[in-house]
Amino acid sequence: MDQAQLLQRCQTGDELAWEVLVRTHQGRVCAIAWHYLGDQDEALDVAQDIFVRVYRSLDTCTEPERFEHWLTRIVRNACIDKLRRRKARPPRQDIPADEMMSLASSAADPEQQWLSNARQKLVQVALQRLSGINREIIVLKDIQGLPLEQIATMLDLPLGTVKSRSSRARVELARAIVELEGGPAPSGPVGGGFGAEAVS
Amino acid sequence: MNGGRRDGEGFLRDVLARTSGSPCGRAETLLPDLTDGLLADLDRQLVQAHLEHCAPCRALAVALGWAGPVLPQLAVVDPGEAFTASVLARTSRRQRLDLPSPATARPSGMAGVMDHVGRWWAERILVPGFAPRVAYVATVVLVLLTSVPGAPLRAVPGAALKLMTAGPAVLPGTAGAAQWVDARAAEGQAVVAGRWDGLAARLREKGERSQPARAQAFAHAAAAWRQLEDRRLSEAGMEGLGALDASRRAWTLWWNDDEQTTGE
Repeated sequence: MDQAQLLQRCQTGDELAWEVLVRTHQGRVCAIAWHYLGDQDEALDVAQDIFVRVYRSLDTCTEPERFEHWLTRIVRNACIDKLRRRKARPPRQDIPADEMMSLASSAADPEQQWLSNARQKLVQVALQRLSGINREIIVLKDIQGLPLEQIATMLDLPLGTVKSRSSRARVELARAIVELEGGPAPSGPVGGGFGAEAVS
Repeated sequence: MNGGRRDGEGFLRDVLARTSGSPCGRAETLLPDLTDGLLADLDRQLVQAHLEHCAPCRALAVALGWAGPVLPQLAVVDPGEAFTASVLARTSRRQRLDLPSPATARPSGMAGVMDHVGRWWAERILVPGFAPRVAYVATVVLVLLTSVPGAPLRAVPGAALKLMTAGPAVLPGTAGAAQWVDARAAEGQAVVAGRWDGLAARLREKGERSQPARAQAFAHAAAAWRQLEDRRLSEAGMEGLGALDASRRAWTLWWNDDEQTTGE
């Protein structure tokens, strides 16, 4: 279905078009909110508020071809607002993997499915251990697949900074995964130990 | 053999510690490109050689390798049908109809410019931190316009303070209005005072009218107390009934303006 036509129908108040629009984007909106906030219930509440806000300001989206960018921006802003308001509260606990929302998975084989789910949950938990900017870049670039230029605009950072940040964020994520798996302690970002087995 | 290897690794570690330092940091910066297959041949060989001997970096490379394809799978979650229903319930057509019509009815000219500015503002105000920044800029501009020596509006705060102190009568063209307001206020005050005087006279008259009955009630009550002290209960009861009757009569006289004062 053509995005521009769908949006135009929504702008005229067509409930069916709006339902399709919500169904099309709700999974992505909830995922981004979840990755930003790290809490399922909070993410669902924020995602609902986001759709209400989008509904009320549909007329301000004058470029239908950039709707997804516009929507992602609204989601990001809403999540950052929520995080700011949450600052005074005690830090959250790691998310129990079993309580998380069901994730999309393409694996057909049950064993592969189990492995895939386990890895998704591990990555999700590791994501919450990243620093704010690194998590944001992973969410926008590696999870949502946004182009670097768009991310640079959204984060108001130079393109080169986003590129270098992206590499560092992936390494930080890998380090968090290794720590969660209980693997060999990786070195820090600068220098660090050289080969644990070499000194044993 | 193993002991020789350990010695060799230990020797290498010592040499690196005294020369270039640990190569793990350099390896880590190249690992993402190694995973993505973007490294030049020589760099790839160098990193792979390092990974053969460095378990922590190897663990990072393994995690990077499998996490890469997993990340896009997290792009979408299924919030459930209840979520969709809840969103649709909160976004009814009635709400939409309250809004201005879409792009088809955009005004032109100055109204169009204001409409455009309004839309821009509505979009920008959603950006976190935008409102405090605007408030900060507005404060700075206000200070520059009114407080800096030579500022165009430097006299405004002083004039405003003077006006607040002197009242609205000093404003040109408002003297007549101020007089009219003062006259209406005086009229209102006179009406209120007249009504208050009338009410006070009625209350005074009610008090005078019911005074004998109130006096009788107090007298009966005092007599009943004395009879009680002398343990003459029958007489005390009679006096109590007299006090109640006098009280009822006092209330009737106070409340009804046409009742006449009667002695016992």
